[in-house]
Amino acid sequence: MPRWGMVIDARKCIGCQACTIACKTENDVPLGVWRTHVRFYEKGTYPLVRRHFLSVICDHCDEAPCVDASENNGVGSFYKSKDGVVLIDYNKLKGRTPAQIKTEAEAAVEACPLEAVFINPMTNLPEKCTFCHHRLDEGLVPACVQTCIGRSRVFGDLEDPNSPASRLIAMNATKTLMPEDDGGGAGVHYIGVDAGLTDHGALEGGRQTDPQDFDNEIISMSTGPQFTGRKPKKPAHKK
Amino acid sequence: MDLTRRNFVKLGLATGAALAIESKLASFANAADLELGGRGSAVNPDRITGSKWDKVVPYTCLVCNIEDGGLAFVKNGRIKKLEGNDKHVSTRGRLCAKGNAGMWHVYDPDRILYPLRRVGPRGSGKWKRVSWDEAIAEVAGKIKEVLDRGEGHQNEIMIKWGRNRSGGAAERFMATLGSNTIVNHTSICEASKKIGMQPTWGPDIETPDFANTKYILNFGSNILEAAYFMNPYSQRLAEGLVDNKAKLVTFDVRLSNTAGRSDEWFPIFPGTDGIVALAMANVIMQEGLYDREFLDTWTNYPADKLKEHLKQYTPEMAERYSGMSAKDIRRIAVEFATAKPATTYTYRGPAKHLYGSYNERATMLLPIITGNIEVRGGYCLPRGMGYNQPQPKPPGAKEPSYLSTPPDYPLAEHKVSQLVPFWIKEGKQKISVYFNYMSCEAFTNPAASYWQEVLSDEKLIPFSVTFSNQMNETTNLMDIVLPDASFLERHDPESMPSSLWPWVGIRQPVIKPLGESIEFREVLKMIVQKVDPDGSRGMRKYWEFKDGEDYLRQQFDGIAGLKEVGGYDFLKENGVWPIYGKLDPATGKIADKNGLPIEPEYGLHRKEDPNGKVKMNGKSYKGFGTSDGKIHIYVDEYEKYGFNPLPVFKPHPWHWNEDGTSKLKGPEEMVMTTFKWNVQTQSRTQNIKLLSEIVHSNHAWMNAATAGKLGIKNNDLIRITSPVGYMVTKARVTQGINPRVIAVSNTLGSKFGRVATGRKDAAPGMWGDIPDPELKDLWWTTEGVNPNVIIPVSADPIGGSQGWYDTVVKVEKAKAGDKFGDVKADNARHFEFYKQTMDYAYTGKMHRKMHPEVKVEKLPEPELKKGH
Repeated sequence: MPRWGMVIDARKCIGCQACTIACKTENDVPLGVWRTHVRFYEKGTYPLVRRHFLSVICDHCDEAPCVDASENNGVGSFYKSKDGVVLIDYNKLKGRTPAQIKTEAEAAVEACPLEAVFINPMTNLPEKCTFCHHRLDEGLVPACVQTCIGRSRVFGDLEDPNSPASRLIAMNATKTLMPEDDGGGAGVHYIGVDAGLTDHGALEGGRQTDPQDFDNEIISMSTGPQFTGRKPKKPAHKK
Repeated sequence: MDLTRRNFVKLGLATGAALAIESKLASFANAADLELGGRGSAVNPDRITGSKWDKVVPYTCLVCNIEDGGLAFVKNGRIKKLEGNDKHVSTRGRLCAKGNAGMWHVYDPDRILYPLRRVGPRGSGKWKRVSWDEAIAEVAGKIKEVLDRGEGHQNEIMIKWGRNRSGGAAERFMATLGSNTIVNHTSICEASKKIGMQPTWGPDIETPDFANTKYILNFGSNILEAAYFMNPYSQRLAEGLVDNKAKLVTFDVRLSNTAGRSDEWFPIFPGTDGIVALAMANVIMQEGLYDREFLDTWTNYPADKLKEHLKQYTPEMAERYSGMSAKDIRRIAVEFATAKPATTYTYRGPAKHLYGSYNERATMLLPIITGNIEVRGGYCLPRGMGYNQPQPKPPGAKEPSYLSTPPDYPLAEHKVSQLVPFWIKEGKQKISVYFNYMSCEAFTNPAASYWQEVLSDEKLIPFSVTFSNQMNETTNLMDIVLPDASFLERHDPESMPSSLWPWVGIRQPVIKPLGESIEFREVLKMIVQKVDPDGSRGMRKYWEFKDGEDYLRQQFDGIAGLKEVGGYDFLKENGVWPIYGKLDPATGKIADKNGLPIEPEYGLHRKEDPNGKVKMNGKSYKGFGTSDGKIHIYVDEYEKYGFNPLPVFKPHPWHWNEDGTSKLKGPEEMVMTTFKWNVQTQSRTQNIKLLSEIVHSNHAWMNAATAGKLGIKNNDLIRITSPVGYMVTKARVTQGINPRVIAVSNTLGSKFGRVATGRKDAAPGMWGDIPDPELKDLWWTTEGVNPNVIIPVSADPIGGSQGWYDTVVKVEKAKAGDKFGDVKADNARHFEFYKQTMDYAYTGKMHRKMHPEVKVEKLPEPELKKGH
């Protein structure tokens, strides 16, 4: 049984947004919401300025907050599959009233500090990254990985110590956006990300590490409906 | 079940997630394929277990000009997904953001689906739908009117093209009509880079071996977002930077993504790439770090003389102009020269200035003097591949065209298209019929307002036809619209030197063209056959191909090597040829039979060749593409017209006094530059919702310290005033830009397209309405203002390129009454600037003054003659 995981080597990310769009076309994600996206951060003072690219995606946590929230506020449609992917069982939502679905969905949305869960405006159902599970079933990697120009995203079986994903984790210092204490560290491992952006530092205190509060276009991801008006939150410690 | 958006989402989840299907690992023969993205051959869908596609069709992308190989996945007649072609040696299976969203050029809700005829005044937006027969009859009628006036009038039929990837069809059309009035768009782009490079070593572009290099000097390119060849090169650049630990140094006025990712960013003043490069070359020569053997063997200028010439370009002088410290100039020069191998890369910072060709030649010196030419990890020749043309081919037209080969710009082989509307206005050539193909000059060009004026004028342009399928600033000024099929619905031959391996590819219809759109080459055929129904004009015989596919068969079936594997049929099935190996999912590289990454050939100039021009040690070598096979550091052709035959730096008279002090007064005066993004090109992507969702405003980038001095805060309304007009936009205050520069992306601000303008509740045009239920869900506020109307024309007198990055502007907080999006341009002032720029042509009054060091007795008389 594989345990699927992703490594994002930020040193190779060029911020091209191919992953952002490939995911949308692969999964018919509507406007205004994203299963994955790339945020830009500028750091420094002229002329010593650097731009960092951060691919944000569901961490597929062990003991995921969204799974807990969906259990505690509904029928528990959210679950972590045996192969390591946090998925939503839509069959469990069949026959529920819109209000019941909304309650469960909103709880899951609120629970995720990475803002990885959203309500699909077309279906009104909760939705999130599935590691393109339908593609895994066909022997294909997730769409974002397939298109990644920099080969920043690498996908594979973390149970196999020789898979390139496992090898990258073994040979490099990695961090997660979601701290392990909060359930993170299972699915997605980052190499070469500025320390201020991991352990959900990217989400705390706004979406820009530069003290000036930019409301500008190149980080428009952070002004999209999925993210506006939301205050990122830290879930309670699990351990 | 009909696969609309909603249903697909539900279905996908029902089969995948909701039933909690565990991965069927066992059903895969090769677990490694599953691991890391090995799609194998997607063209053969039954190799993919559980394939749900009707068909998978290879194509070549055309959202920009990189020409990536793609695979289009079709279900229920709809193009649902686009992925890179894993058999394509350059593309290696990956596509950029724009490529991924390519199907939306097919399903653009505002796409023109039927032929149109203007019924109101030009530009009034009043159209009627006409049949193809009617439209073709009118177009053919206008052509016949011109041809029937007798010999010598054919040049009155002109074509203005931009992204012409028809592989010879447009050229065939003009030759058939007997007209030389062909105006491309290359001087809006890299013309001066090409004219810097071609006389130097032959080809018009380089191939930097990013994957294997140790050091990159990037002058003004934003290769991680745009430039040639963004996708294939970015893949290799990522490999080089991380796997090979290469250092990337970028010179750019603005913190592009490339600059932002670089190891060092030097925000030098606009137009000073040349002097920084010359100063570095000087340091390298002085320090003895040059490759004397290469210089003496393979170039036409001895090392000692070059060293002498470069002495004048001291690091201190370069510091004065560029702002880069002399210390850093020395340090980077030594780093570059001692890192082996190393390469430079340019496109298009250095070229887009007055004397851009000199800037290009200066940067090109660096890999030459350090012996990094055609080595692994260095600055390599492009590897191109050609294809044939159907026979018979029409002979070239007889009469030279002023607009196409202007006599005042004899070295500007790629034309000076930005000056064309002014020449038309001055009556340099009478125009009777104007064809527009894949070009939006009334939006994308400098002095765009002047194009608008000329194209609106029925006396100057009595009849105009476009093949555009987008309603935009230019289409809106035409008389007839003959809507082309999109790039996913038509046939084109393709080839680009986009990696170190040559290839040919194709475009082919993934689906039948929507609505009544017909692909370009078939429309041209219809026109010619209507002009010459019985062949008596001698034109029809060049247009007897059956259809687009037949045309391409004639182009590919006879190519040696390709012929043996099936010719055009091979390309239909695979999209590209040759296939150099199998994409290795573990590395993302193309692997040979032994599983190792394929290696290109290097040292092409050193290959033995019986016809080689370079003779050494009793042998003949291929050499470079020059008259004697050597690299021409000294270019005679330049000298003939009074330009400096060596790389030099000419301070721009708009920016610099003769004593080297800046002409910019006060913090409010700065230079305006423009740029593209990784998700928006110069005009055609604005109406693509997935792209505009990411970038939908082009606020002006301003340095934070400069903004502070002017009392401007982020998002403030500001007025930018150029010598020809002004615009009102918002400020994006940033640390990532030179304090003397303001940068406005030229990719947004069209007044057409419901997505591009954000007018989601507007009614569709009468020219075709592809329903898009998501139009109502556009959540963003579009804030685009296009700067092109306030940018005056400027022509590099050598290569012809527009000086896009030279305009001096004044920036201030918006005045009372200013509204966001206000733009005002003065066409009379634009005309003055046209006159002024021609003063720098070799025939102009500024030429000798700008070249006191060039001692040429007599300059050749300007001659109107046919071009290349």
